[in-house]
Amino acid sequence: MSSSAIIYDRQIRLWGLQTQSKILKSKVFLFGYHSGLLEELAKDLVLTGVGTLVIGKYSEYTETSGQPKFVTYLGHDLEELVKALSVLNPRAQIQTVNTFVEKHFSEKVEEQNDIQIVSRLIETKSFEICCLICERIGCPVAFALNRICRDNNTLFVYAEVIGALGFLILDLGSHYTYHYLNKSSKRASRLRSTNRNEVIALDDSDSDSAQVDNHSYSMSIENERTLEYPTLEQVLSNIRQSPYPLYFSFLAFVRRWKEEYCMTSQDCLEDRQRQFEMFLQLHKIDIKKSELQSSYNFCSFMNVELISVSSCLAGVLGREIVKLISRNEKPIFNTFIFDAFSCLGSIVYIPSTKVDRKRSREDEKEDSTVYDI
Amino acid sequence: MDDECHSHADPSNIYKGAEHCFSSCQIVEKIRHSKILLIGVGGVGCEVLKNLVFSGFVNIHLVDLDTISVSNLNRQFLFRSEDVGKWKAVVAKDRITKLCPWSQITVSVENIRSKEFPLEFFKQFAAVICALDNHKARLYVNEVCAFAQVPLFETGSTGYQGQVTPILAGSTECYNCEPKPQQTEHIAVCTIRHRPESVEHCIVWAMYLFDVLFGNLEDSNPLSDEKEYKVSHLAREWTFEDGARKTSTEQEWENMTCERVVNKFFIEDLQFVESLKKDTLSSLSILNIPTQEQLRRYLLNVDTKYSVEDLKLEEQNPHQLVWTCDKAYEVLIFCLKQLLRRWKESKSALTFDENDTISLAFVTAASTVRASAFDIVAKNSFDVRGIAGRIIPALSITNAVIGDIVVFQLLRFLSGTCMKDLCNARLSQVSRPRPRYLDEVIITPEFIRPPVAEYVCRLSLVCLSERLFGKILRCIICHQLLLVTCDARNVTVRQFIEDGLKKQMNMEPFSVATDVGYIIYDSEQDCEVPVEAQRIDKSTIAQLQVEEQPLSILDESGVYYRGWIRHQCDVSLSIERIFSFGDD
Repeated sequence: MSSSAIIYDRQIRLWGLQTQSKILKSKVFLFGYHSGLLEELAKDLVLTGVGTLVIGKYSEYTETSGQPKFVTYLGHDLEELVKALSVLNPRAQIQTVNTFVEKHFSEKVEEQNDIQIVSRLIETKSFEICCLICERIGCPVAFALNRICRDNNTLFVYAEVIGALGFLILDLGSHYTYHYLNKSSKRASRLRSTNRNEVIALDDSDSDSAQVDNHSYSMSIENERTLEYPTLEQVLSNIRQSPYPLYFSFLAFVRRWKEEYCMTSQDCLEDRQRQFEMFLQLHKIDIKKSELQSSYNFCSFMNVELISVSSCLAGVLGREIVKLISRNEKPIFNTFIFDAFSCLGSIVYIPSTKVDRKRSREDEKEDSTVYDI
Repeated sequence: MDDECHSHADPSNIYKGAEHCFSSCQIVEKIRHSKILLIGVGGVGCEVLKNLVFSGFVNIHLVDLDTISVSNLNRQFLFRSEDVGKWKAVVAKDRITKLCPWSQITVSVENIRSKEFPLEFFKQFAAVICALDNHKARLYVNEVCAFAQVPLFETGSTGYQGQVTPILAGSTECYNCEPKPQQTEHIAVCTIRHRPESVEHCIVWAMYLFDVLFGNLEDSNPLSDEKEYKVSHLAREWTFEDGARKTSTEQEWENMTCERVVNKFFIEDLQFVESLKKDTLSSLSILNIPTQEQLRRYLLNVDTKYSVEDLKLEEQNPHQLVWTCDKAYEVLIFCLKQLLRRWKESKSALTFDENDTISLAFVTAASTVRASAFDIVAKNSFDVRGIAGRIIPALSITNAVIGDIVVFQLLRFLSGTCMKDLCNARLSQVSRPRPRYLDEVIITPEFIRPPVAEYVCRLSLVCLSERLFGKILRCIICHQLLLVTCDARNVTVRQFIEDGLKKQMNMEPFSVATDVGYIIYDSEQDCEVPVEAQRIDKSTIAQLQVEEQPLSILDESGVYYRGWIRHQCDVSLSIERIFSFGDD
């Protein structure tokens, strides 16, 4: 602990020793294309101190005109990436799926298919969190993985970057509990601290939350809360309910496009825009004229990756993973969109069809009253 | 196939991204040929550098003064444990060049405020990205960029929060426009000496005490009148006495000195404060003052009872208990002895370093004793290190987000978006319910405000209200910049004042001074110190070495200007006023 205490000093001061030791013991599984997003996320997690990181590469793809252009820099292939990451944090165990399987299954796994091996891995329940870095992986695969994670109580995060847009969809199961540090308890604790002259008043104005987090390890007033997440499939089939139909219908369109259109079409910008329009009509999604124009711009970056957008999304996701590991604070519920052009990163709740709106409204109300105090 | 797709040394994928995102081919050329200045290669800086290079920027200049320390390794991914102690900028360059051989990175290990960087230096860049950690250097960069009229991207990150601010002086609000909270809070001397109210005051006092005993005593130190307790002084006394009393050994000297120091600062001083307080209602809590006998016992025991290793382990544990008064006394004496030995070995002043176990334990122990005397809850050494070292928590994930937003904003700027149409981005974990959507926002765009309009400044001269005055002149950078171009080797200060400021600008200068307080012109001083004034008058700008740095110019009417003398051969003297508002 002693050497790591020095290395992680700056973050221990933020989230406390308890969270840090949880992070050091945590096991996270990343699966997806070897893209910039995967590298960035792996880098952030390894730096933060995640104990075990297993990376699986989804390699089943065909060469098409729509082949995504990834920006990777830590390694040509997975083995190199693992090596580069191990240098960043020699204490962490970083493995590829293959080496992990060899180490942990006494008999060789028979399945040839990537997805099957991954499913077997998740079934061993050795991971707390499974992140699907979803570049061009077809929806059925994503849904299948999500189901397996749900069945095995593994927290599931879906991340995708499309040019200047980033998406996170979390499925933390139907009963995710976390410690909620609500405002009244924060105030109570601060009151308590001022009485005992305990507050570190370096900068009063804008580090309110940081200050309290600073001492989260000494906090005693906590609330436990539960969230009920819809599955990935429910979210993606319910995009019309979202307050940002444009972004989500675009996401859905890109998924479709990657599965079907890009194989056949000539793939020029006009073509994509036409197809997007057809897609909207087909799904009866109504989008304002002004918004439609920007969606046409989206079409130009459907298969490229910008390192700056990827690593921004990776940063936000890294923060979420720390929340999930520590079970402190409310994680993203349940989707997050980042639009680099407008610099807006917002959390959106997309309800599943099963959960009725009324209940979710109540949830929201509950939250907002807390903020009002 | 794999290699082709993932070849990380292939810049074509990188440019494809920008080309598609901004739907223009020109952007690629712009990215390729724009030179970028990155100031600060710390947490945000590393991320920015990586993003710049892998967004396709080739020409990057790094400026950083700092070396790598162990606590950087949790976020500054270009550095490894074997690099600790090396220059950040140099290591960062080597690592990035390895990852990306086509980049052309140049490096200066230098303070950005140094004269090595004249205005021309800044002018060669398409944009400046500022990833600094201190207010002073940021203000300077902000000002230089205003003079050079180079777009500046200001970044900052603390804990879970961070922000990106694009600044182009004249069309956006600048870093100086909004008053920033003071980094070092000034605490009154008497509060520190006699009336500490919080544990911070006790810690500050303990740090001052460290300086009094072992360090370089500065006049700003509120304990500066206790000079006789400097170790060097005490040691001299001892060697003086030595001739007479040959019996005293090193060991005895150590014990004697410890006793004197503890007696003075932790017993007599506290008793004195108590006597002061007798007439007021509140009185000191019953002091746990050790008797002389106890003190002696401590002096004998502490060497076996404590060890540096134990203290080191303790300081890394945030959950450790706050030391009891007894323990604090013991640790205090232990550390005093250790520091005395260290001082004797080096024979030079020691400086407080929060990463040094003994210094930290000394400050912790001293502050604990003092805090308990004043009925204040003390802190453990983990927390004391945070306060004494002004440690700001930092995360790789926050830096990643900030570093990315800034580079994307830079790309947008190069693709033709005006600086004022970009936005200030704020990363904040505090959730904000938005009335329309009932959702929460993590990354918030904020509109860039224009600088405060100039007419307000003129108004102030009419009103002459003290309050209004101070308030309105707060952003000098946005309004009152005078860029002086001249051949610094030929132009004298008198010429600069008479021909330049008075004739060309119609000003009545009252005084001109550099930021370090070197007054090069004072209208009232002429008669009082004629010789000195004349000497300065006749000296050229280059002789006085005041070119290429900001100057404060005060007008008779009370208006402050900021000036910058730019050296250029063959230019006699020309002054231009930058940024006249209202044209926009």
